[in-house]
Amino acid sequence: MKFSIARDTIYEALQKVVNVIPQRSPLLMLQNVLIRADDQSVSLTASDTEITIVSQIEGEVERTGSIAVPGRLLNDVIRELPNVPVTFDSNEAFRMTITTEFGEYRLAGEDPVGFPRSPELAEGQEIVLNNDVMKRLIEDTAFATSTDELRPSLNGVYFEAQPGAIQAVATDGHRMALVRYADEAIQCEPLKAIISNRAVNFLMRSLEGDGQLKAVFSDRHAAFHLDHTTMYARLITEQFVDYRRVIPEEIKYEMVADTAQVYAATKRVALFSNPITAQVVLRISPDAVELHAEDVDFGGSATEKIPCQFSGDEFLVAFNSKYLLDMLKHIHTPQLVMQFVRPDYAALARPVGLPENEEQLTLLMPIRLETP
Amino acid sequence: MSWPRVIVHVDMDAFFASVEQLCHPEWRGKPVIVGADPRGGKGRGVVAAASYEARRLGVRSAMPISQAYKRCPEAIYVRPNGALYADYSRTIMRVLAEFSPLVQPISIDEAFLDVTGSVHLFGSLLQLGQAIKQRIRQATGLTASLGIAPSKSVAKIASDAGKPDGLLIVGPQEVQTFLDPLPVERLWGVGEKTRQRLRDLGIQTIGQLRDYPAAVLRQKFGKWGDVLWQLARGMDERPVQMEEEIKSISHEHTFEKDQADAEILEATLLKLCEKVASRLRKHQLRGKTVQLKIRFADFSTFNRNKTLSSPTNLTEDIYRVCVSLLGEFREASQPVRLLGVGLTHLVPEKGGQLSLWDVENQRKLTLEQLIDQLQERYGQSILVHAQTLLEKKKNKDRTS
Repeated sequence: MKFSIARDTIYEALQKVVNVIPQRSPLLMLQNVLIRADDQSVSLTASDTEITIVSQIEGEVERTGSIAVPGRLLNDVIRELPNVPVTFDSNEAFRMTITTEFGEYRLAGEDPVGFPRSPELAEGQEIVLNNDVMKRLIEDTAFATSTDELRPSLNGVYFEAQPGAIQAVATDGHRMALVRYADEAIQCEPLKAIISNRAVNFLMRSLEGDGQLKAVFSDRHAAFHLDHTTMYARLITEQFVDYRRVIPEEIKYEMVADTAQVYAATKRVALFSNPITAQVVLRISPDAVELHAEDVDFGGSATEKIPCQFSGDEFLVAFNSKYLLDMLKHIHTPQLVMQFVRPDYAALARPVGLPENEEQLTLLMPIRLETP
Repeated sequence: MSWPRVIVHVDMDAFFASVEQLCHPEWRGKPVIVGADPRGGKGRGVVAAASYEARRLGVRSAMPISQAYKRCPEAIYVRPNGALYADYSRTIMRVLAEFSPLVQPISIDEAFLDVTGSVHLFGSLLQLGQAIKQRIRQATGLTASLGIAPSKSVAKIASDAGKPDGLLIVGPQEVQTFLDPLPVERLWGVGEKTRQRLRDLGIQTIGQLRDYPAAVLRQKFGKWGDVLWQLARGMDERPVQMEEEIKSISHEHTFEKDQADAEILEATLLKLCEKVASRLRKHQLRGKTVQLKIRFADFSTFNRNKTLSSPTNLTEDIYRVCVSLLGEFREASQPVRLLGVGLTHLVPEKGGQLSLWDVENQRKLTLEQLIDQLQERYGQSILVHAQTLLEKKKNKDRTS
């Protein structure tokens, strides 16, 4: 294998794959990046067996071939180079020489035969989406996923698609986030899949610009084809929870407020909450909401009042301020509406004034208030 | 002088040995020694309890078993049966709860009761004491010794003074005459070290301690000196506490023979998880951090823990985490000597962050609480996970 390429080009490609290399793995082969040179194109692949990312770049290929080389070392060397032409040359003994105008760097590589193969997804279902749609589906739900290994189905984002609409749901049992996007251009068979937390995070990093991605789903894997990158991810094959069941149907009270104001007030007041419960109490009256936090152990407390419109007389509810802030951070409209049934029932939050083809809701379980 | 507080100390007589004699009528009237195996165990271990017949022959609890065997080779030696004693203990504690809501168990066979508020219901102190003894005897067939006094420390000394099957009431005005002639080591907390140091000061009886100047005691013993000064006067304001605040709940199991069978290890783990979860529920607590303790044949010991996203007291949840923690030792090349399961970061069962699955979890909780109740009433074996029977079955298969 022999090819030449600009340092910036290969470094950019390397950045997309290098973080997949596992920190620790019993499979030493996974510490490598697979470099493959075909006619006119070069690909870099890294895998942790759960996720595999392949990055394609143009290069001047003199001799085709492939090799597996230590990924972090390769990345470190390329990072330290300025943008100069770099030549990669490997021999049959799987030793690779990197040549630049500064000198030569030799790496001991391995036969790429042992490198895990990307899953074949010939039989899968396809869906084509705009990058920004996929980005929003992930960004505004993934914060609610769980890392609790007791519930593997919650360790990812659950996607459901049918012709004309796609939605994403994530929950950790304390909150739930749902984003739905309707567009007639979405053509697909009905589809259900849980994509792991780690996979959606990698995917999000690659979703740049206003391009499109093509996703292909099989029973166990998904492939995401972007402009120069393909990501393969093993799906979480557990059954997702019946999330519809926990969405309250009958709403009793509704509060409309300024998103930025609630966010800023919560952020300040939360500094005074008990660090373990992180509890912030909302006392909502017809024209204002009072936020209150205190830490009995250390004697600090804080109160702020901001205007709102509330449909009830007075309502008292407490939340974990971290969950409240997470939710507010993902509401991108100037106003939000929060809906309540009882102080010990799930509260609903939605952005006000979304385009008609979009739906977004967050469910937040309160902290039970000690009844005096 | 009236009683400011009425504290009862209940102490079962030779508890383990008495339970064994109760369950083996043929052992009654004979010396019974509960503890390590004096022969097979190569004389390792100590006497856990000795019946009064054995005590007459000079055997004391905590004595090395080899020494007991020298003094009393004809005694009946029996391995402790912890589950059996715990069953009796629970019954006794339940009986005590009939006499006062303020019961503080301090060990498997000892408890304090504050009966200040309830003594009038039973007539006199003597009648109350007799009623407690009688109810314990009725419920278990065992005898207890009771001390009744205005403070915990005096009550404890009084129960000891009357043993066995004793009942001693020390009124506020009798405290001094009762304590004075007793050796200092009878005071709660005075061990061998303090006894030695006091003897160096020429103090052997509680009376001598009482006559000693407080300032000198403080100089010699610091704060402990103040406490000694007070204890010598029967002064002890410590309340009878229902329960210390629980920081963690754990159970351990040491295998009779080091165990390498993965299925038996998991079955044992399940049994431990049941116990831990059941105790959490009993105390209306949930725990957030699950801890697995593992000791291998060579005594190398490891602790692994995992913190959950929300606290639990369900057997199923705890077990799932434990199995995954145990999985980290899959490659271990030696058999396991001990397994332990514990939960820390405990929070009250009610309140706190609510969960979207509260409805579902509540169903599981109700089921496990029902099992708790059945086991409490009919014994642990009334309803068990089938998996936990595996060890017995495998042992049986092996022998047959």
